[in-house]
Amino acid sequence: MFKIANPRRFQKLTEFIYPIINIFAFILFTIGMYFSFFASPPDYLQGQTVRIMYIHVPSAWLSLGIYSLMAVCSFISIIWKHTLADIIARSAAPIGATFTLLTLITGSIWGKPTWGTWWVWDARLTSELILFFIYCGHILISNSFDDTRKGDRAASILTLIGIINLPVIKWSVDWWNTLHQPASISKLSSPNIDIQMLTPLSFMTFAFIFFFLSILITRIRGEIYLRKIEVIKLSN
Amino acid sequence: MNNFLVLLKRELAVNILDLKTLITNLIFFLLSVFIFLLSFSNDMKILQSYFHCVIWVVFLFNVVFSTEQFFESDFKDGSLKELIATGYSPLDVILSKFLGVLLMILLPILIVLPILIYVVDSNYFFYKSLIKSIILGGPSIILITLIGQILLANVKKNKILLFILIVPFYIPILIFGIGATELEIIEKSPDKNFFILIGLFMITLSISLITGKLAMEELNN
Repeated sequence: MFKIANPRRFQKLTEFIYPIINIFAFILFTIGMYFSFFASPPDYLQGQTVRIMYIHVPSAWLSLGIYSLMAVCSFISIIWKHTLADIIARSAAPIGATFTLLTLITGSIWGKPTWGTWWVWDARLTSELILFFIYCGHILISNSFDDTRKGDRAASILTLIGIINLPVIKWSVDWWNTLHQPASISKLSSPNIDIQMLTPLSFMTFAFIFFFLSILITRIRGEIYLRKIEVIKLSN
Repeated sequence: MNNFLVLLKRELAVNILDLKTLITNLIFFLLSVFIFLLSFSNDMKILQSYFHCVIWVVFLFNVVFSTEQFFESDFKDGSLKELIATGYSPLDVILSKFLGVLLMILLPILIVLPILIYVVDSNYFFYKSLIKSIILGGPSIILITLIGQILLANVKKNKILLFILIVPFYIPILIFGIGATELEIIEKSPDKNFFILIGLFMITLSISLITGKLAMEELNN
């Protein structure tokens, strides 16, 4: 794994896989959109509004997944002091914040017709909002130091503290009485969601993941170039 | 253990001598509570149902503003680096600072709180759970703030940034702390919340010590 962790090798590898990821994202989005809009039935209770799920749920999963990725990177950065891990965490944070915001916005739009309100102070919604603020904190702290390396270190320590928030989100449904429905796809053996809806959801989830990877690689490459420029500036 | 006691003595000697900060903190706390209460109506029922929220929020602000002196001044005058260089463990430093803040900030507030409650509303029934929740939740709040202070000791004008960074981590403690009094208001036992607050403190303590040590090492690089 650490062979790829060399920024130069990483650049070479991504030059090769970046177009493939983009193609996958495009194909999956096309199939996912077709299934979401045309090939899946409306919900018997919620009607057409259920289609918001195909954006809301993947972005909610990604908002948590990206934070886990950042936590792993922070862990690697603290133990092995790999620059690439810092760069990945720094590049992933704004994307994670955007997906969290997207979750909150689509959730509100979905909540209005189904629950009758844009926002409730329910456990999961509040936790997602807290996650958004934690992302904001991460972005702010990593940019508030003159020395980028120090900013990265402080941000990785903050991420490790923040990882405690993830289980709080995961189990908050059980902790508090909540208006939000419990997770439907937690049981791998028999999901409570119909296969007709699970198909577009799966396609959209993978499409979102590939889309995230595509933006992440672009950001990482940009960040590596920025650091190279900084080194060149310093050496002159 | 010896090192820790020496550090704790130093912490108390530095801060107890500075009576000015102790009094300033208390006045800040009292004044903020009164300002909050003045903004409410004079209705005792409303006061009774929101008083614990006011106390908790003012307490949070007080901790954020007053813990600054414990790390920033030591960092600025170089004594923090000197302590680490002379062989004191970062864990001892953090723990001594933590106990220092407990004794210098939490304890005076806990002493003043019953008097304050009596002065504001002599018929306030829910003071027991309020005081207990502050005793059990306060240490976690202080630990989180201290870690934030260490992380940002290098950054200029860090108060607002500190607030943004640490407030998300306060939320579980705030919810269960305030929840304890709410449970008492609806005549249910608040013990469950106290146990959760103790659990949260255990988690916060272990995480704070690990991350605090890392942050201290980073500070001294």
